[in-house]
Order: sequence, then structure tokens, then C-alpha cells
Amino acid sequence: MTEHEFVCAVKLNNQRIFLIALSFTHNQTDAEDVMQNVFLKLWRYNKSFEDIPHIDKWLTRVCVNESKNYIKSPFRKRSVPLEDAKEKYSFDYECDYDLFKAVMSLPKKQSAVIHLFYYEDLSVKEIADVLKINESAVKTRLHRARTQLKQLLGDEWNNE
Amino acid sequence: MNKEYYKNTFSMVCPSEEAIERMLCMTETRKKTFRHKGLIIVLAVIAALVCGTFTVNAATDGALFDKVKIFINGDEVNPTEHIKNYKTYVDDEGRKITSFEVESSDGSRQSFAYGTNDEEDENLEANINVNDDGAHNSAEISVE
Repeated sequence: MTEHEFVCAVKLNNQRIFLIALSFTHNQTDAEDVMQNVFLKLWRYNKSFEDIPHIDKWLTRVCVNESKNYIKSPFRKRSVPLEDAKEKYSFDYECDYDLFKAVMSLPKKQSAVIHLFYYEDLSVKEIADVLKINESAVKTRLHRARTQLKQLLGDEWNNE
Repeated sequence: MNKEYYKNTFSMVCPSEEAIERMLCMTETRKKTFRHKGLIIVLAVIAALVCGTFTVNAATDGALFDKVKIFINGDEVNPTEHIKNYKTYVDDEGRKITSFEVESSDGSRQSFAYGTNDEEDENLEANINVNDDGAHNSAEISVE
């Protein structure tokens, strides 16, 4: 990968990769660490990619693997959780902050599945593939997460 | 509707500028490393002489890296960079059980374990072949 290609990949994907990592770690510092590990792997990766979707898919998969390894690691920083998110991210509406808070309050396995489904637009089958679990486990996690979000957010969240 | 709501909300959540800057500096680090390649090699040799033996021995009894060869897409790679969570123990029948994980270039890990008696352990050679096409990967071990 050339320097130009790498810089483009970072600029295009940093937020997406950060958000996937955040859905696993629930912590800004940890998510940034994971994101850096992912892009370090990209920089060191010595195979060429077929096209941009191939890079995107590779980054998603690496980020999921890195996040899973990271949350199991004893060296995890475990810094303060996202309590100051409201000031930090300047949400447009109060309900946006409510949704963010609700997703971050879910168990990590559920928030990761919710994020991959709603933000990354992955199908149940694709989520099962990237998380290396079966499809029924993905459906169960999605169902539980949606029920929890409905309880927390009321009418703001449709159980679709 | 939920997808739109979700995407709008999370599109406002970004990593810090400092974190992005640090990633973009990775390319600079590689250039600098290349510029000082001679010095880096000398320092690496000294560091290896001073610390390397102790580190490898502490982590693996000094044995595993001699016995295991790892190939990713057919290319042999340095096992010290890819072997994680190395553990050994002796089971009830006195066999030495060796377990470890091999990390692929995509960060995924696959677990391997084998049991040997003393004589077998001395002669053992294991080859691990990882195939990673950028979308899926698989790994297999052959022990001689």
C-alpha cells in the first residue's frame, strides 16, 4: 500500500472504525487504541486489495478481531467511561444523546451487534460471519438489544 | 427509521484529532526508520544480545520458536510476532501440553495445542500454514 492510499484509507474510514471499536469497548481511549492498531495492521499489510469495498470489508473484520482481543487483554487501559459524551460530541438533539447513552449502556456483545446492523448495514449472516458466531446468536442479541432500547427510549425507538 | 436515527446520532461521534494525527504519522515513522536503518540495526543487535535471550526464554522456555514455523500465504514469518498466549503444562499422564494462539495479519487468532513426551518434544517440528485472502482465513498445523 502506498502512503497516499494509506492516508486516503485513514481519512475515509477513521470514524467508521472508531465507532465499531467504541461499540465493543464503550470507552473513547480504548476505541482510539483499537483504531490505531487496525490502521497499523493496514500499513503493515503487504497484500494488495482488489478495490475500495475490499479494503472496507478487511478493515471491518480486523477492527472486530482487534476489539475482541483488546477487551480480553489485561493491558487494557480501563479509563473513565463516556460520561462527558454530551459535551464532547455536541449532539443536535437531546434524543440523539439519549440513544447514544442507551446503546452504550447495553452489554458489549449486544451493542456491537446493534452497531454492525444499524450503522454498518450488515445483514444477520454477515454479522455472524464477522463475529464468528451463528446466525441465531446474532438474532438473539439483536432482539434483546432492541427490547432494551425500547424500554430505555420509549417512542423514540421503533422495534423494527 | 431506526437506521436513520441511529446513523444521524453516531455520525456526530468522532475520534479525537490527536488520534487521527498519530495514525497519519505512522507513514512518517516508517520513513524515519528507513533513514536511520543502519543505526536501528546496530541498536537492535545490541538489544537482542542484551535482552533477547531472556525474553524468549521466559516466554517460551526457549524452545517453541525453534520448533514451530509459521507460513502466511506461503511466506515464512517470524513466529515471535505471531505467537500469542503461549502456555505449557504437564497433564495427568505426564505429557507436556503446549498451547498457543497464532495471530493472522487481520488480528484474528486461532488456537493450537499438542501433547508430547520428552523424547517426542525434542524431535518435534510443527509447520503452521495460514491462508488469508483478505476476506477469510484458515489455518492448519502439521506436526512431524
